[in-house]
Amino acid sequence: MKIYKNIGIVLGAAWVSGMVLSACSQDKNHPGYEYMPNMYRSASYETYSENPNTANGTSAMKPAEGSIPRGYSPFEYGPSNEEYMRAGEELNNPLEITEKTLAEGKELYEIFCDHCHGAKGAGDGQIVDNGLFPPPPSYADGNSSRGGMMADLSEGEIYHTIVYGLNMMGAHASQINDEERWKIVAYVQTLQGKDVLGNAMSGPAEADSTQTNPVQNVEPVEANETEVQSNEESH
Amino acid sequence: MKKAYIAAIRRFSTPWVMTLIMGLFSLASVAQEAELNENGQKLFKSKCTSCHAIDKTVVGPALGGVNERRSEEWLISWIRNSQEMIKSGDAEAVALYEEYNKSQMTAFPELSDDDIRDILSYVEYAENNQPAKSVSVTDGGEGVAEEKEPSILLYLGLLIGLILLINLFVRIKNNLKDAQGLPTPTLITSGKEWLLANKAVIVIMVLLLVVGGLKDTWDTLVQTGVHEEYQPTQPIAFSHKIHAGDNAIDCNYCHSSARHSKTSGIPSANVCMNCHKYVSEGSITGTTEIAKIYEAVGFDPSKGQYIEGYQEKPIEWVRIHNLPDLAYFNHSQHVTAGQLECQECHGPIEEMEEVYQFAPLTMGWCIDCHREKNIQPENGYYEGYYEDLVAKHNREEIHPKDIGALECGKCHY
Repeated sequence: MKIYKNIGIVLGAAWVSGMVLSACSQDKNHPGYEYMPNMYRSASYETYSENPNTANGTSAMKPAEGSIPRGYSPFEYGPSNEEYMRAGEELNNPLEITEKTLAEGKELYEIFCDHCHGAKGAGDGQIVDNGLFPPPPSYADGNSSRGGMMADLSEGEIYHTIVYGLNMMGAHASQINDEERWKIVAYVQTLQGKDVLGNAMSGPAEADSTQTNPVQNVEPVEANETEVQSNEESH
Repeated sequence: MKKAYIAAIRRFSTPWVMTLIMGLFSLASVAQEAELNENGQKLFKSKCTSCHAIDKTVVGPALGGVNERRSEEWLISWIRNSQEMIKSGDAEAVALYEEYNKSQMTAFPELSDDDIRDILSYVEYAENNQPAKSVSVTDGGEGVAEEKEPSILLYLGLLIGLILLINLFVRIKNNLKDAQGLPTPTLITSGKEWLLANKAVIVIMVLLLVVGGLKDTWDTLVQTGVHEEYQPTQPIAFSHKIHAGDNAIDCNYCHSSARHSKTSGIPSANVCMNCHKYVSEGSITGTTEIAKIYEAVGFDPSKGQYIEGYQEKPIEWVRIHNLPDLAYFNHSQHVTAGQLECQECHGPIEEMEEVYQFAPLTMGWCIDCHREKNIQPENGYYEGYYEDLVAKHNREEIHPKDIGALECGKCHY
């Protein structure tokens, strides 16, 4: 009889100590203890740290206006429709399009475009599929909101759209650098149904494939030249 | 006036209205179903939704009530080629063009008059069959608030009540014993007697205390500097499950600097706005959490525009993974050169509603990987000496340890 009593006491004690121990468990907002925090914490201000020396108290600041980071090439076109057409006419992919470029373009496309535009560019990405976002037009057989077919967009026009966005699509210039944009452009062209392999800036194949588009766009560009200037001033 | 009259006749002569009227004569519920114009719905979703919504201004105006605002003829001509109308000097067209910052509407020469009428009828249908979202969200919010866990004060009150009750019973018992002339030992003296009679209990309790204390000490020591499962509350209840899981957005879309830089980067709010300019209501929290982004960047969702001259405010995210300053870690080295998946170190992020630290981030944990993983010879960084390494070690798999990843100075300098 006594042994049962003792077992009961032991179990009770274990239960109580267990309760006490679990009650001491960490607050989820507390990271835990550090041994010698002065070796853990950076003495210098880190990218996202608070900083008493700046006007808004953060270390991360906007670069001074007009500054150009290393390896950055400025984009000399504005966001307006006229500038878009001018970019479409004048800009060419500086990269040589190889199997490797396209594979890298595909990888980047899957990171930055796939969730809306879909794996094949048909406008059926996961977000669209979930009904949260309206579908973008298909690269292969959709209409462009700036006129013409999506399949006829020139490489400069695609590049311009990545930089500034259009309609529901936001500007992606801050996420994708110059070289990556051109890789994506090349891959998007394959989704348009174009054969871009081997295209280089001075290659003969390139001249053929883009010949038809700029010609259509020449007229409105010239007609609107004065308007472009006034637009820029108003910005 | 005449225009509107003709338009009205035309509208009533369209087949879908006939079916609607017939439907009304049958069951009311069936009538609603019959109203949906499937061709219109298909066309609307493929051609219009990039710029228009029914109930809010997106790129172009909200389309709800457009059939009342404009005549059908005007709409057909506008949808087919709005630029032509503007050039011809139609007053309404020019005013609209100016109001929406001269953004051009796509011309749709391929749509027939009937197609456009189908779309317009779908717009009317969609307008009348909108789910009443905002009401249900606020209702849900109140419901949740009511079901909150009882506070610690309640438990404390219950405990005090229980102690008082025990005290009362003990007093009654002692008074009764007193009345009978029996001795009334205090709780302490009787407890002492009992313990002296049961020595095994003392041994077990001391043992428990020692073992428990040792375990606690050990846990504290081992956990020092290891912040596994740290899950701080963030300023915005951002769900990685919804973004990276359900909607399959690649990690690198938002954390775009992970491929190029030391830090993986907290996306700046303009990246949020790429989608949230349009998506203003979340599936779990309604508009409250997304409104915090608008508050930070100065965006007015009702107008769909940024507020001019707004003083932007930083969103103060709480950093979860704090590698000590004494160790160097570079994201691009692992993501781009090493081709590692984010999940290998950060765990199943795409399943986390709220992110916690998955890996211990201890040196042993780093070193394990440096011993076992293979380097990626095709990434271009090892050109020229990968072959030498293969020859030297006489195996195809070259591990980070073979290229110096176990050297102290690789990470500590």
